[in-house]
Amino acid sequence: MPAKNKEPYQQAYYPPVPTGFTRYMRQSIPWQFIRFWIINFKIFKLLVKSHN
Amino acid sequence: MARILILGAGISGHTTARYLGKWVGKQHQITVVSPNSKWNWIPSNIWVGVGEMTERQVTFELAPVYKKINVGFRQARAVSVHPDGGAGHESPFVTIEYTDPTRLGQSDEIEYDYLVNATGPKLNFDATPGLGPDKGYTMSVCTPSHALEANEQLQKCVQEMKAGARKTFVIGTGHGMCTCQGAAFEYIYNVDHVLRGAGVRHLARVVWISNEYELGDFGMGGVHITRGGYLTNGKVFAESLMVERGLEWITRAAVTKVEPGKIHYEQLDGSVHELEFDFSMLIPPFSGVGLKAYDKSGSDITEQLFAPNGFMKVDADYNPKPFEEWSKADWPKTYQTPKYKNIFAIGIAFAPPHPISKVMKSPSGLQISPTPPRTGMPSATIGKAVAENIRDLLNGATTLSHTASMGEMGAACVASTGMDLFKGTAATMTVFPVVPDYETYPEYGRDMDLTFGEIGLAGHWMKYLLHHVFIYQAKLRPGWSVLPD
Repeated sequence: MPAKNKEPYQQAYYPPVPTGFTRYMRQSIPWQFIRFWIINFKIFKLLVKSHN
Repeated sequence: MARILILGAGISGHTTARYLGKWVGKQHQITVVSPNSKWNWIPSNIWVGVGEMTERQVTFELAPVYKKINVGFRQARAVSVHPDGGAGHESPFVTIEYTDPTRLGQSDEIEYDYLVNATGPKLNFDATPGLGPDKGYTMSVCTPSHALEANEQLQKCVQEMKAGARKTFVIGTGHGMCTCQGAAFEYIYNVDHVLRGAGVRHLARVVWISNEYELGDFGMGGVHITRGGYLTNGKVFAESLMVERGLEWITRAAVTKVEPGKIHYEQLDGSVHELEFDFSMLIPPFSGVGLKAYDKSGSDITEQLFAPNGFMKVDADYNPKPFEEWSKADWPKTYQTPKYKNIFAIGIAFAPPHPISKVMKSPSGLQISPTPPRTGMPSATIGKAVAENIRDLLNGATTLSHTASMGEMGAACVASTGMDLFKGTAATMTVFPVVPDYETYPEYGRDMDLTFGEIGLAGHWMKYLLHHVFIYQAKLRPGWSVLPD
């Protein structure tokens, strides 16, 4: 059976979809460990700046 | 000795109570009135709603905690405020009605020198016919009991799907003027996670429906973030999350009626639609809790203290103005009411001057745009600033030096996908400031360093950490006051 064309002009056609590498990095423990501290630092900065 | 009365023990009210208790609890009388005997870490209700947590893990009894810092507690709901005093009272007072089972239905009057209204929202399910778990056909995760019921229904669907049934899940907002899209946003990812975990995702159609103009608006007019070498809109970030998980979305929609298994909605272009569902969790719109106000003679002065939506007027600029003229200066700084300098309204209880997202209406005149969020981090920041000001006033200050404008504070939101510490990809989003400030940040109204979005396992760790840190802090465990709010 020949493959069918995928309908293009649908909602899901336009947004970016993560590549395999991106998905891997999102669950890579060493990389996420680094990101965790960066996110913590950014949220800490945000909290400090929020308290006037 | 001054008498400080705090109405409500949610995130903002509890924050004010614990700091005032710590700072002035031994010298002054502090009383908290809340209709619930327990404190609830609302962000984790999402996990209760998918069976990952129990009610016990997200709540605790308030009275023993307040005892630690000399704060009195009454389980009751506030009925009316009498800021000039009244019959039998020279001082201002509040009328309460007990919800404590041992005094159920009894009334009382509590005099105060300082009043903090932190009554939060009324979950206004009645605004949409058929909305909500009590009188309608949709679920909610706004309270622990609602979340438990949502999980019960969700698990029932999963069981039927394991037997081969196909199901449609609809999650989002249940009215044209809802806020708190973030809670529904997190819930839809957790439902998707549960369905995948049960091996039945292929039998599910999962649909997001909201009053946002575009995905990622969150009642803040959307955000811009830096990603992949571009400055891009949060819409792209949110849509990518949806596409990755095979979720559909409907935006610019006001749910107008819910019938068993069928949602009716109108969109901004005026078109009306129906959407069939097997399971639906829709956030209700919020309104004030319905507090009344009376002067010394007993005349109704509710309109002087409260906006038509039931939220309390504070030091905001309530003069109507077009979207182009909205400014961060319109937003309150001290949360003091203009007429009564000893009354403050915090958290969701204060009346915002206007929305943050541009007001949009369908041709029929139906407003389909989010109202401003005031939950979570902003509520705690506001609660602490008001506690600091009351402490200073008690110590002889004549002006309020602590401010907490939403035009000068940020917010963080972590949308988890389950609770696993080694699997899953949560979305962490922050915004600074909540209300765009185009004077300081001319291009996007936001600090582009502190406004960011990131997807990954680290978000799960953040969410887990926040859950435990905030509950530890709220229980006033050792060192609580050095933890960030």
